[in-house]
Amino acid sequence: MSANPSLAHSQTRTPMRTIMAAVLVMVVAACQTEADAPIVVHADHAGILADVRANAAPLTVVNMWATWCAPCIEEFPYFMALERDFAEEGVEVVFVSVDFEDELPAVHDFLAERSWTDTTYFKTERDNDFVNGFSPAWTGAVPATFVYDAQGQQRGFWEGSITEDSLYAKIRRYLHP
Amino acid sequence: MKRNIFNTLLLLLVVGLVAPQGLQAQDQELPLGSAMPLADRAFQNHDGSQMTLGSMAGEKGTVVIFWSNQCAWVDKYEDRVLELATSFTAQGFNFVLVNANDANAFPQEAAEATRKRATDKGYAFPYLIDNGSALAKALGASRTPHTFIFDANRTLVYVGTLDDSPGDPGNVETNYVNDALSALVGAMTVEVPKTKAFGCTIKFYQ
Repeated sequence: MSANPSLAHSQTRTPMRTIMAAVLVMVVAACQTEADAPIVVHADHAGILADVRANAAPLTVVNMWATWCAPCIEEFPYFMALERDFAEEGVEVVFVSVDFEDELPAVHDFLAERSWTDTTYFKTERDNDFVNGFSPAWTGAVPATFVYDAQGQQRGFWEGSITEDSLYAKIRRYLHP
Repeated sequence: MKRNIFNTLLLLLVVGLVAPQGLQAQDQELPLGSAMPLADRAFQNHDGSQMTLGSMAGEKGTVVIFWSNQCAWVDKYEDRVLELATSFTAQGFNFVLVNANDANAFPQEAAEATRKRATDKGYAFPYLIDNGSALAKALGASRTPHTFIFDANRTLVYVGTLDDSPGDPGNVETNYVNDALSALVGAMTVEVPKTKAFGCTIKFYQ
């Protein structure tokens, strides 16, 4: 009994198609991986604040977080959504990781899992200098969030986690006082 | 109907008044030079006994550190605190850890978990449960770990972090608490009386 010619034909062609498809997927994946890889920049408080001023976004929201900080992780997606939902108003969100030095790979993984590709900062300075450099009012508790205007002037600050509704309400008040 | 409207208004009022307050900056540490607050108030120790800060005051001074059962910074510092306590208890200081986190909202911070941590880690000093966060509020503590040192006269002489390298003990340049306690041993003034560092937010009782 002869094999079904069309099936035989298909069987002989499928591996080539599969290989080509696999190669294509790998190429696309490689391109995506490079383009979508998290960008993590080591910086002290002066460098981060200088970048905020240089970017001159109408409103920049700087969120301090760590990969093992439960309330930080809980509120992280609210900030991601904030930048998307307030893009027309020019709101930019900047994440600053205060993880320990040996946890840099975990920071990369965390950001990659959430497809966050905007520049994220990784704190390099001694805590006391970093905390006071951002604000004497900040005790160092994390999470903490700062809001800056286009001139880089601090407009707001709070410690502790926040709900999505409260975050959005706050940002609206900063945008439309 | 009126009751529903009243409840709604009450809810809005509560949300409006309470929610934002919980997010304000909390740098309200007790000023240096202040007397030990709530010295006569009884707190439950990890072993179930009741203790007051006054009764735990050391001959040379008292070290109060706000602590947690689920904070990476606390984990990093635990061995260093045990070493400090061993070294300075012998020199007339008493150490007290305090858990002021809302145990109702965070079961890992409740009495049983606190007792277990103290037992498992062999704490040779009290680990108090600050029910209602009263002591944390009185001292202006905001994070864990957050250290307050009182001298022999129960006067606040240091507030801040343990040292300047939470993540790596081998990278410490300034050992703030060790330096402060050494100064007190030598009847000297604490050279750096106020520092800051990262820490987990204290989840205050609502």
